[in-house]
Amino acid sequence: MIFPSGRLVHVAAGFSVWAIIFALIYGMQGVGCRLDWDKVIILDTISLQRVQLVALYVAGLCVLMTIYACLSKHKGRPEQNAPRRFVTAVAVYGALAAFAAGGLSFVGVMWLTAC
Amino acid sequence: MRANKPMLSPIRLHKDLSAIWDTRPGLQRLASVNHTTLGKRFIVTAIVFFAIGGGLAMLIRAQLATSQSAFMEAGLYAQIFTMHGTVMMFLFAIPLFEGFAIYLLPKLVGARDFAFPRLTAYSYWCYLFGGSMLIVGMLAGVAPDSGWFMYTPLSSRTYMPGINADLWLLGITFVEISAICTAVEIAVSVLKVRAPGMSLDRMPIFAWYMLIVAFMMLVGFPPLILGSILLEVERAFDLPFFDPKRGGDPLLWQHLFWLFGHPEVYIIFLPAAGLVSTFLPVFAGRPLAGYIAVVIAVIAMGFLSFGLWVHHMYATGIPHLGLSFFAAASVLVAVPTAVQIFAWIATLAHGTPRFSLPMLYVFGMFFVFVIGGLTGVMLAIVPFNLQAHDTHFVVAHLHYVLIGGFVLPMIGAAYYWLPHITGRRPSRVMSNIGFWTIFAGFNVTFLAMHLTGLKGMPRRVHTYLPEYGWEALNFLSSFGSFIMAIGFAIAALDLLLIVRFAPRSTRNPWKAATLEWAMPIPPPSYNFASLPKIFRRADTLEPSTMAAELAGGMGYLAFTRNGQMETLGVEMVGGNTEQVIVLPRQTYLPLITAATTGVFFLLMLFKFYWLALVAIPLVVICFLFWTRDTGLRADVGPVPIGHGIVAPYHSESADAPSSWAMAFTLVADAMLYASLLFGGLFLWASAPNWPPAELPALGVVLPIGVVAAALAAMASGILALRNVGGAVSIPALALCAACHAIALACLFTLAVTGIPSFTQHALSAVIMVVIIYLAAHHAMGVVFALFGVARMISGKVSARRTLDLRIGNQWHLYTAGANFIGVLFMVGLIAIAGTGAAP
Repeated sequence: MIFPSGRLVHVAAGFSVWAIIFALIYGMQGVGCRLDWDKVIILDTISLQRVQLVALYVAGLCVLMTIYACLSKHKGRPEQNAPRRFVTAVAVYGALAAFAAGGLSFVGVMWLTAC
Repeated sequence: MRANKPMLSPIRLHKDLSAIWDTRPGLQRLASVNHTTLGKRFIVTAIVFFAIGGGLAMLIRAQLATSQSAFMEAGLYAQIFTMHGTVMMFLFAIPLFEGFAIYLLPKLVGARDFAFPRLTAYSYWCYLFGGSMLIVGMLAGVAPDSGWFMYTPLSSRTYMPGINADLWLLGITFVEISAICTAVEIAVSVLKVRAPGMSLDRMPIFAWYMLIVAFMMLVGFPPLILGSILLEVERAFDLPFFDPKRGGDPLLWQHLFWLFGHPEVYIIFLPAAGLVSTFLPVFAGRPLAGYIAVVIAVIAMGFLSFGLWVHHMYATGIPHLGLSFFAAASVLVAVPTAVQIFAWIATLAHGTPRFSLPMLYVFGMFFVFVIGGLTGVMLAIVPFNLQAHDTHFVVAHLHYVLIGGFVLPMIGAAYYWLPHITGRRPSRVMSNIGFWTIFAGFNVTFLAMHLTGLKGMPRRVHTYLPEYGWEALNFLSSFGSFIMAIGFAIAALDLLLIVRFAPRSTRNPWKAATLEWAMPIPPPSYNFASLPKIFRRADTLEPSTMAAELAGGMGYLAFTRNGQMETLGVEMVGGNTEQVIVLPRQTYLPLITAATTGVFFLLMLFKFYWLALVAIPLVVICFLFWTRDTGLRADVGPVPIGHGIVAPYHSESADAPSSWAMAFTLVADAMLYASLLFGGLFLWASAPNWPPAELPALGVVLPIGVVAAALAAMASGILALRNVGGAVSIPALALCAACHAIALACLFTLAVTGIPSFTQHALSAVIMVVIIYLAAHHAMGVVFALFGVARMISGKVSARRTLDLRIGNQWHLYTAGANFIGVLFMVGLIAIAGTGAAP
């Protein structure tokens, strides 16, 4: 019942996931610092904290790219009427923007001091 | 439009509609639920608060004009600058754009009113009463004095023992209730209450802006409401959420406040930008360029604005990595902002611009807002921010953003829609003088203030020594501020003179192509004598032609029926006609309910806590009275709406606005809950003095009992809905109420037996608040279930009319989910409380 109109929810899909990734990475950074994961070295000089944050970052980008790819499949379908085409276009470009925003927002996990 | 034989003469139709829709004279004005009336009330009230906030600004500038000024002592100055910020942000900016939205949106989308007129009225009264509480407090000398951001520990009871801080926390929460109600109203109405044929791709751009702003309000305001509740609870009952000695953390307040506070800037900017996007194309002589790009940009801004809040907290010692997320988002948000500005420039470049009065303010906006945006990008960069933090540079920046991005375009919008609101035509002479005086005064005030800040003058100090070298710049700022104040006075006088003496305006004086001009000006209470069918984008219409057709009854609902206020509801995406929405008639109930809500806040303010608890059920009872005249007692089936088309009443529709209102209310509710859970985890991760000496012991039976009872309540609700009309339905709802009551009892037992003194440590305090949150939901679950029983007994529920039960089920479902998450959270937080150490 939450979104019976179907595709309307898609317009916010990309950035909703971006927001979830933001909350997850920021939250897990706090958790890692609390549990001293930055002092647990697991790969040469790389800490557990770095590994888990980079993993979240990469996984998040993969999810965003998947959303973009899935939404793009709907784009330009001849059976869609004008309102549906409009909603699909907003959703696709929105997802692309969210992917770009995700790539830039969290890239600091690669090298910045985590705690 | 296809021919539709009018059933009534235009004059007869006008008289019949007026008899139903008009606000009655005299004291019956207090019963008005009409969006035109309420929109104007919001606007006028916001302007009054603007005058008050402006007066306070003059006092601030008088104090700072010279060094070692004896004009005000520090305590009074703290009250004045706190109230200036509070009034401008909460009592002027938000309500002003709400007023414009309330006045304009139904007209722009081709409806006769919003989906919930009484909610609009309730929202207005809450705003008026909450704002008045603050102003009366100020006049009584007990105004809040901890800054408009109320940072702890300054605002904690230890340092602010009086009621000043309580006044802010309770008054602002009261006003925020108004904002949440308006947000629900706007979101549902934009999505569901439009003219037939107005699909999402044809919607006026302002409706897109307000739709996104409404969702931002639903997500952005609950963290502040939660923060205010927690701080008030700490002040009143000593639960230590912000006390580091007992596992709390003052930074939790900053997170909660700015999680609201930064999106708030965009919540204020976007409606003004939406109005510009509506009227700028009119003066460019062509539709808005890049419509779809603007929609995407606004959605992007809506989300990105929630990733910036920590840029107000760069100096609090957050690790570099954390800062980088927020710095990146702060810079990124400039991109969608620029998309909108380039769309406006492209519209002008491809059109044949006319330089009419509202455009003067748009160009003022371009100049001022772009400067504010650029200094914003500077402040987004961490090293610069640390240098300029808490200086007058930030004050200058925020005024460039808020006056450039909000006040100037809103005045432009006021001039643009003045003929619509008043039926009078603006004249240029005095209006131009007003603009240039404001523009010159503003830039003299705040351009100089950037330098004052760069020379090191901190914010919020009430005086400074002459040898600091800030005096000349401060004097210049004060001089400019008085020029600006004169400008605003000229503009206000100009508006008053126009309203009173200006000649009558012709219809559609600007030659606009949007729907609000397809009606007489000033507009009748019902907006359209008959509702239009939309065949193309809503900013490419022919209002002059449509006005005559609609007044002649050529559209939908060109008649009255049973003395009902009717408008049409549509399917969200395609805009196909879906239902006939019957709106409630004029009533004093919103006023009475708001007054009762106000009693609760006053009782809290004066520390009559037990009596305040009694006021809560009174508010619920008031709301229950609202339902007396809603719904149908028998199945009616589809009814004619004109043009040979029929549609069901909303009570019989599968997709009624009220179920969406509940869904959106639950979004806000969930955001408040998520903020609470975030707060608990944040304290564990960051606050000192964890774990507590004694951990709460919840056991196994009671938490499982709570979840089981909540799930059973949900299942009973579903069972009742599936068997409507059968013998099982009423007993199932009774069982639902009983399950909620059992869960309530389990939670009460848990609170009494499982938690050591909740004042000893933040862990116990957080768990206590989670329990209270869940208990409140079960209490409301009982109300919803029993309400369903009452509606079934009174014949207002049938297999076709299940709306009341579906709304109740949304609540039961949410409550079950919240219980499940809440129990997991409580058990999990206790389990990890002793792990790790605060960094």
